[in-house]
Amino acid sequence: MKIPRTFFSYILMLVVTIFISGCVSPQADKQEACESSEHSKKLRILLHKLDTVTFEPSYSELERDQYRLGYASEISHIVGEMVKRQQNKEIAACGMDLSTQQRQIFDQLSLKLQVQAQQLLEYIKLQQTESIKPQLNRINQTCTSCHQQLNLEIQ
Amino acid sequence: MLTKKEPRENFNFLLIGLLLINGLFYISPAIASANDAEEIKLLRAQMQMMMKRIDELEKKQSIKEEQAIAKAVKQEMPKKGKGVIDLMSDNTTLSVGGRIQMNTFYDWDDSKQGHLFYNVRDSRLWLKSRTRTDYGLLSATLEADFFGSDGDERTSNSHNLRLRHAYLQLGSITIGQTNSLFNSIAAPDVIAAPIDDVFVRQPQMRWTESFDWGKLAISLEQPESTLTDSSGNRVTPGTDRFPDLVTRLTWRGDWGESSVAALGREIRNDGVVADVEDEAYGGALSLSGKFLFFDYDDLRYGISYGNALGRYMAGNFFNVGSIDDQGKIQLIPAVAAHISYRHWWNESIRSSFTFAHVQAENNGVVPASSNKMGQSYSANLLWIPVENSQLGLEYLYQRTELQSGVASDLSRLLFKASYDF
Repeated sequence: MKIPRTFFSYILMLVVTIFISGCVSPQADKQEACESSEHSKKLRILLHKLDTVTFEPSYSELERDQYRLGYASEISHIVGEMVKRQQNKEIAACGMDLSTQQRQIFDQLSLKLQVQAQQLLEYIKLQQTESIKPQLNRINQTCTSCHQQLNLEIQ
Repeated sequence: MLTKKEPRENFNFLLIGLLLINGLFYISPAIASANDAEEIKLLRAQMQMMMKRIDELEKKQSIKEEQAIAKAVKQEMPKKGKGVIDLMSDNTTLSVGGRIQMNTFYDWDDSKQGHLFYNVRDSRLWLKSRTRTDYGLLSATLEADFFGSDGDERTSNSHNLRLRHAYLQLGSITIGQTNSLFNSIAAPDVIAAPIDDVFVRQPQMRWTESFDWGKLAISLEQPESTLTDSSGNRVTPGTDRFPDLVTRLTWRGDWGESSVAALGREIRNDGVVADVEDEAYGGALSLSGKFLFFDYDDLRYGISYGNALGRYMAGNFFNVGSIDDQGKIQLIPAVAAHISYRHWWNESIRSSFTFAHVQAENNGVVPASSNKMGQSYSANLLWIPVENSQLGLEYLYQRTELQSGVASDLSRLLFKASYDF
C-alpha cells in the first residue's frame, strides 16, 4: 500500500501542534504550596474529565456511565486518602501553624469531608450516576469552606 | 404527635369553658328576674358571641392539624436525587435525559457549487432504569434519535424516531442493542466522524470482567454479510448461522488507555448468486487508545486490519468480500487508521486535529466502480459556554478513490450547537 505524502505532512503538523500545546495548556502545576495542592490539581483534572465525558462523540450511555463511575471512584479515593493523611497530621493544613480554634475547624471539616467521600463511594457502588455531581459539589463546598476559614490559598 | 394540642390552645379552651360556667351564673339570676327582658337580650347576645368564638377556635385548630399532617407526610416522602423519578416499584429508579443538537453543513464537491443544510436529527432522548435485585443491580437503557425516515424539508421537517440503544445490564452481563465491542475506544473528538470510523451498533450478548489494570470483554454479536457481486451491487444474504465473535482487552493507567480487539466472522452466501451456497471465515485485529499529555490533552489513535472488517468500519464503505458468478466468496483485506490530537486551549475551549485513512485490497471480481481508498483531514474549535452545552466549528476535507482510479473531493464546513440534559 502506498502511504500518501500528505499523511507525513499531517503527522509533522501534529508533532508541531503537540510541541506548541505544551506552551499554551491550562496546566495547574504552579508552585506547590503543600501536598494537598497536588491532590487539588489531580482532582481538578478528574473533575474536568468527568464534566466532559458527555461530549465524547461515539460513547454510548453505558460507556459514559462507566467512565463517570471510574472518574468518580478515583476522586473518592483521592479525597479519602487526603482526609486520612490530614487526620494523621501528615499534611496538617499545609504545614501551617494553627490556633486551637482553627485546629477545631480543620478537624470538623476534615471529618465532614470523610463522610462526604464515603457517601460518594456509596453512590458509585449503587451506580447512582446522577447523584455524583451534586455530591461532588458538596465536597467542593467543604474544601472551599476550609480554605476560606483558614485563609488558605486554593491552588 | 399530630393530634397533640399546643399549651396555648389548651389555655384557650379552658378560658372558654370558664366563660361558659361564668355565664351560667349570670343566666340563673336572669331567669329569676325573667321580667327584665333587656337583660335576657344582652345575655343571649353574649352567648352568641361566645359560640362564635368557639367555632372560630375549632376551625383554627382543624387547619393547624391538617397542616401538621401535610408536613409529616412530606417529611416521610423518600428524598429524590436530581433529575430522578421514583417509580411505583420500590426497587426501581428511572432517570430521563437526552440531547438537543443542531448541525449545519456547507459542502463543496466536484459536482456542486455548494450545498447548505440544517438538521436537528442528532437530538436524542434516553430512559435509564436501575433496579436492585437479589443478583445485583439491574440497569436498562433505551435511547432513540431522529435519524428514522426523512421528514419533508419543504414544510415540517418531521423526521422519525430511530432506535439507538436498548439493553440491560446485570453484573458482568450486557444483553441488547448497543455499540459493538469492536468499536474504537478512543474515537476523535470531532463533529463529523473521520472516514475510517470503526463503528457499528447492533444486538449482542456481552460478558465483561474488570480488573485493577483494565478489563476483558467477550461478545457475541449480530452477523450480517455484505458482499459485492461482479456487477458492483451489494448482496446481503440473510441466512447467517453464527454470531460475530469479538474479544477486547483494555489497559488503563495514568498514561491513558490502550486496547486490542479481535473479530471473527462467518461470511455466507445462501444461494442468492448462481444458486450456490458458500461460506468463508475471516477475522480482523484492532488497536486503539489514547495517550495523555499536559494534564488535559490527548493523542488518540486507532488502526484496524483484517479480511472481515467490511461493515465494521467507515459506514460500510467497503463490503467484506466479493462473490463471483459461480457464487464463490472471496474476502477483501482492508485497513482503517486514524490519528487525532486533542488540545485544550483552556478549560472550556478545545481543538482536535484529525487524519484518517482507509484502503481495501480489492480483488479481480470487484468492478472498477467499487471504492478503493479514502482519506479525511479535519480541524475544529469547540467551546463549552455553559455546563453540558457546546458550540463547535469544524472544517473537513475528504478524498475518495474508486478502483478505476477516479477520485472525488469533498470540503465541508460544519457548525454544531448542542445541550445535554
